[in-house]
Formats: sequence, C-alpha cells, structure tokens
Amino acid sequence: MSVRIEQMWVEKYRPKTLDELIDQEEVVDGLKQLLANKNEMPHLLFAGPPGTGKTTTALIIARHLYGEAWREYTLELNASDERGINVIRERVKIFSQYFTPTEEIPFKLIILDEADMMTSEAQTALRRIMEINSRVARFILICNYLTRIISPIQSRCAIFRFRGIPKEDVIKYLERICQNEGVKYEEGVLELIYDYTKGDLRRAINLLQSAAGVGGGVIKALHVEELVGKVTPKVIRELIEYIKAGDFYKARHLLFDFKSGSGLDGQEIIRLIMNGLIESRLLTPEVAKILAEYEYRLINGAFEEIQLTAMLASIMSAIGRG
Amino acid sequence: MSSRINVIKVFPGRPFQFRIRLGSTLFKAIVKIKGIEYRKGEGFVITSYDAIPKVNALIERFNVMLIPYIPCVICGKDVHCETCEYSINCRKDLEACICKTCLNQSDAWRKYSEIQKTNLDIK
Amino acid sequence: MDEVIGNEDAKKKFIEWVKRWKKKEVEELGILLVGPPGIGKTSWVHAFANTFGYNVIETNASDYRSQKALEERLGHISRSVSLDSFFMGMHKKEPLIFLDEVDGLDPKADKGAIETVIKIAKSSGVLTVLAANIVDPKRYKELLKNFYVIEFKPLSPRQIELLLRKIVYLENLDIKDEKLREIVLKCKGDARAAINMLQSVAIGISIEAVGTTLENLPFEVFMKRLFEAKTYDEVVSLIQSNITHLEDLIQILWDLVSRSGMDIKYIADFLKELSDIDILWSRINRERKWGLLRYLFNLLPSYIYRLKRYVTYEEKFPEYRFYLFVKNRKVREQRDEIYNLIPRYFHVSKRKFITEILPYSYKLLIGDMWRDFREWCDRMFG
Repeated sequence: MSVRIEQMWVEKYRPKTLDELIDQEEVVDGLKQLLANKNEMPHLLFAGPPGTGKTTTALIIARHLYGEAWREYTLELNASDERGINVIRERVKIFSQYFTPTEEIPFKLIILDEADMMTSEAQTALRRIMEINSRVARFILICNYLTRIISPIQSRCAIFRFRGIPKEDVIKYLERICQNEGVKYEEGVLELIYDYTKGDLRRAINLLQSAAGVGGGVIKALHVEELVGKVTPKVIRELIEYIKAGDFYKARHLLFDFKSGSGLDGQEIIRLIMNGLIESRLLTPEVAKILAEYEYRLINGAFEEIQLTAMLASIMSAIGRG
Repeated sequence: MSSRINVIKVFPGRPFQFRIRLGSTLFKAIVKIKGIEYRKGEGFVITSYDAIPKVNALIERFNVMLIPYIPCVICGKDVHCETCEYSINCRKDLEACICKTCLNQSDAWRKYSEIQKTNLDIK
Repeated sequence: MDEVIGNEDAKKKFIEWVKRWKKKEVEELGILLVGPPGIGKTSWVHAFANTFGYNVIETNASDYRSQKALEERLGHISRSVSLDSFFMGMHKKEPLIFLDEVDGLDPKADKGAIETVIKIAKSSGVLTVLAANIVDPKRYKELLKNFYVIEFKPLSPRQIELLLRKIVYLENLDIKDEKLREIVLKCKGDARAAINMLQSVAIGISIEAVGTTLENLPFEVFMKRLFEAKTYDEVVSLIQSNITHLEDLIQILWDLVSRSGMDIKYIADFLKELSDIDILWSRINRERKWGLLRYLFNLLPSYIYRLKRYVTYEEKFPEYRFYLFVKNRKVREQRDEIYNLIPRYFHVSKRKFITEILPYSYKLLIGDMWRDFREWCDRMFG
C-alpha cells in the first residue's frame, strides 16, 4: 500500500495528551476533573466548529483510559457513513457484547461523530442505545451544532463546547510544523492561511502541507491562493461553464461522471454547485430557490439522478431567461 | 355436457339414493364427510350444503352429480342449478342463488335490494 | 347494506345475533366471520355499521401480536364505554370493534393476544366482530368457544352476474349480456376480478386481451405499447396492469426526456413533473401506501401521453448508464477500496474526506495501485 498517511501533517502533529491540546483551556480543565475518577466518567458531548480539536480530544481520552491498546477498546462511528440507526445499533451491540467491566477497564468507548446529522427519530433511538449499553460503554458524541441534538441526549451528557482556534495559536502551531519539517514560508503567508481557514486548524494544516508540496518545500502566497480556489473543485467550475453555455447534454454527463466517481450523495453535490454558483455570481434568488427546492425533493425522492437532472434543467432554464 | 351426467336433485333434510353401486370404501368416505349422513331405512340426507361439492368430487367418475335445490333470493322458486350455464364454474354449496328469469329482468338488482331490505329487516 | 350482494343468509344471522346480543340473550361474546379474502366480510361490517349507527374501529389482529399492544390499541375503548354519558350522547355512535385476520395470531406464541381479545369482548360491552380466512377448530378452540361463527361464502356465478349488471346500469355502460357472461365464466368465482374485467371491457379493450395481453407484459413490449397506444385509456390500462414495471418506466422516461434534445424550457418542465412523480413513487414504496397508486395512475398516463408528441421510444440501453457502467467501473472499485481504508486514518467520515481532504491531497495519498481513480481525481480536481 503506497498510501503514506504518516506523512500527512494533520495526523503526524495531532496532539496525544490533554496538555498538548491547542487552546480550549476550559475544555481541558473540565476534562481533567472528569477523568480524575474514570469510573464515574459520564457520556460526553463535544460541540463546536470544525477543525477545533473535538475528535482529537476524544482520541486523547481513549489513550488516557486505555493506554497504547486504546484501539481495542474504542469504536469510531460516523453518522453519515452508517446507513441508518439500525446499523449503528448493531455495531454497538457487537462491540459491547462479551465485555465484562473490570477495575482497570470499567467500560468501552464509542465515539460517534456527526451526531447532529442524525434525524430526531434516529437520535431518539440513539438515546435508547446509549441507555441500554451504559453499563459497558460510554459514548462521546461529536457535533457542530449543539442545537441540533435533542434535549434527552443533551441532558444525559457532559457538554463541552469547543471554540474556533484564535489567530495567534493557529500561526504558532503552523510555525512549529514548518520548523519541524524544514519548510520555509514567505512573509505573511501563515496569516493568509489563517484568513482563509479562520478557526479551522485541520483545514489550515492541510492547506499548509499542500502548498508546501506545490511549492517544493517553500510555502508561497501564490500557491495558497491557487489551492484555495480549489475549494470549488475544477469539475464544478466546468459544470457551471456548461450551464452558462446552455449545454444540457454535457452538463448532465459531467454531473453524473462526478457523482458516480466521487460517491458523493445528491445533497453534497447541490452544496458544491451552490458554492460554485456563488463564485460565478450566478446565484440569483430564483436559482437559490431552485436549489433549496431540489435539496428538499432529494430527501423525499427515490431517484437522485432524476432530481438532480430536473434541478439542472431548471437552473439552466432560469439562467437562460435571465 | 350436462346431458351426459346424471343429476340427482337433493333437498336438504330429505333422504335420497345415489342410484349407483357405491362399494364399502366409497360409502365410508361419503359418510365421513361433514354435512351428509346415512339414515338406515331412509337413505342419504344432506344436512349442509357444504357437503355437496365434496361428495360430487368423490362420485364424479360415475358421471353422477348432486344438484341441490336452491331457492332464488328474489322469487323463491328453484334456481334449477342443473340447467345453469355456469354449472361447471360453481361450487354449488350455496344456500341461495338467483334464477334465470329474475336475473334477466332489467331491474333485477333493484328487486334484490328491496327483498334484502325486508329480509334483513331494515328500513 | 341491502346493496351488497351475496351471503344473504349469513347476513341475516349476523343481524339477528346482534339484536339478541343487545338484549343480552346470547352466550357468545361476539361474532367471528369466516371466509376467504375478497368476498366482502369487511364491506359488510362497514355497511352494517353505517346502517345501524356504529362507529367501526378496525384493526388487523396480526399487527398487534402482543397482549400489551392489543390492549393499548383497544383497551381504552372498553374503558370508556362505562362512561355512559360519553357514548349515549346524540352525536356519538356506539363503537364496534372489528378485528381482522385473527387467524394471523398464533394460539401459542400470541396466546396473550387471544386472551386479550376475549377479555375485551367480555368486559367492554362493546360489539366485537372478528374476521378470519380459515379457522382450524383445534388451534383456535378458545375463540370458537366464545364467538358466534358465521360463514361467508364466495358469490355464485349468477350472483356475480347480478353484480355486473348492477354496475352496468349504474355506470351506464354499453355492454351486452353475452359479454357479461363471458366475464363471469372467465373470472373463476372472484368477484373482484370480474369487476376489473368489466372495467377493462368498458374502456374498449377486448375480452381476449383482458387478463392476457395487458397484464405483466415483458418490459420491452410494455414500453412499445405505451408509446404506440392509440387511446388515452389504453395507456391507463397498460399502466394499471403492469405495476411491476413502473420503477423502470420512470427511469426510462428520465433518460428519454434528458436525451430528447428539446428546448431547455420543455426539458425543465417535463423533468420537474417527473420529479413530482418520483417523489410520489418514493412515498408509495417507502411508506407502502398503495392507496396512493391511484394518483400515479392519473399522473403517469397523462405525462406519457403528452411526452409522446416530442419523443419516440427506441429500444436502446439507456445511454448514460452504459457509459458510466463501462467507463467508471474501475474508478468505482478503486474508489471504494480507498474510501474504506483511508478516512478511518484521518478519523473523519467518508463525506468529510471526499470534500475536505481528497481534493488537496489525492496526489500524495493515492499510489499507482489506484491509478484509474487517481486519474479521475485529476480530471475532477486537478
């Protein structure tokens, strides 16, 4: 396998202890207290913007509880990856059965990311799952929007709010990485990276590494700009060109080439298209309404292809008229 | 086709004969059916219409068929199953049917509705 | 009630028993209707309730197998009846509990449920009617002991003919008597089938076609006939008789419209309407609301009938599928391997990986083993 994960800086420099965690002092203080007596650790709920250390913290806790063998006692799940609450229930069941709590290892750990992407029905079922397994497992739920988590779950968890990492901390961190990796950078480029990623440290580090790769070991503002442009993938920009030109045939082809190859679902694609339309200044209120309408229809329809194609035609018709 | 088959008209409760030699196996099988009994000295008696298709199945190979007397719901006369054009399709286990004359009248179903109202005692 | 044909004697028995029950002159707790499906047990109970002023509370016994569930579902009714004022008011009808498919209950496994049924009938003072297809006397001893059994039989052929004549009259159809007899002969004692056939004949489809050429056609034949149909009603009939093909039909329509080369405004209109149809279809399938099919039987024919003016149907493998099937198969296989492997290492979901990590890092992450996918990434993100 020629995949070089260790070379990804996001992983290489991920903090492994609470003390190494960037910022988030309140969280760290609160957790240190909780972990003092591990038997009494409740379920945890981490909420906050992306790239601020939620997953990192969950993994740190796993290490703290189980030492080097933490992977054996930890189950990582993503709400968007698992096909429904029943699958989650099954995986939790299989993971927790035959486990006997001991003094050393009082419970197993289940980290559930993207919990706010679950419907309220699914969350209600999740609450049951948490209850049923509470003797042998503790849950760490991770979400972006706390308000999207139903209150029965909130009331059963100790809630920790993560905030966006402040500018100085981001820059300090990036500087440290550059030093370790022997990478040079232009003046002001780290600030630029912060500007583009705001409090999202993961994005910042990825951007740093990609720019370093493109720039042959030197991080240049020019490359950062280029890469940031790729927030909208090239394919989407091409798609929008076809939309502008009124070429329905090619647009449809490209759309499905991308959808089929990427494995993204319809909603993700609509969001990417929306970003692209914003960039090309084509997102009029009428077009925005079409996007919203079809995102809703996607959820309720059977064939994504039909909904996406109908949306495409609608947009092209609307733009054509304008 | 019905001209080749011998028809035995049966009235529920009234004894009748099969007019064929049954043999003891067939006799036992018939008597076992719920809804038909053998009364000594009198003959066979149908007590339930349900028995009729079952008995017919057993005696089919003799080209004999039991046809029940079934009153018409509208006029009360015998429906004459044996001359019915649907004879082959019918199970013949009903207590009532409609005679050809009544069926062919233009307002047959309305008459049926009227009779039912009286029958079921509803206004 | 007088209008429902058949089982006159059984119906009379039903009414007589209820009269006696009201005067408390009966031993049984309720009525058990026995008879094959589709012969009118349910219609009769409703007709009865309508005429005699009952409010039917209908439930399928097999849906509520446990005693607890059944009690939850029906218990409150029995409890409420004791509140005289609640029910004896002029505006409230008396309740009638109708429990269908009791033969779906297993006397051993669902024992509690059967006991509950008996208990409810006993204590509630509410008229309780059960229905079943067949009742094995050994298995359902308890039920048979406590309920008055009334048997419903299928209609006789002549009764079916009477039924058809009634429909012919009420719907003002122009159908000769001989035709009616043909239908009766063909329907094999199934009154519902007879009515369906009558309907088909009424819209001009020949009797020979009924039951043979229209139903469950091979898909290609179905598509061809849809687009070659001369009358709107033929389209309706085809669709109603080939429900199993509807899913593929919707996909084909999508492909046809998309490839039609029509003006973009027409494409947008047709696709928007197809989007509506797709949503309805999805609801029908997901929630199993087969009752909604009748809207589809309205929308689809209308759609096809209009679309026919702009497109023709050719027997081609839907183009876009062919293209993607061949071209992208390798890409998809490699993609799946990577998606199953890598996101885990980043502790992110696949979705996050695709949108946030892959576009920047694919060159670094994806080696030669997944060359096709890497090339695809190049095309998309490069």
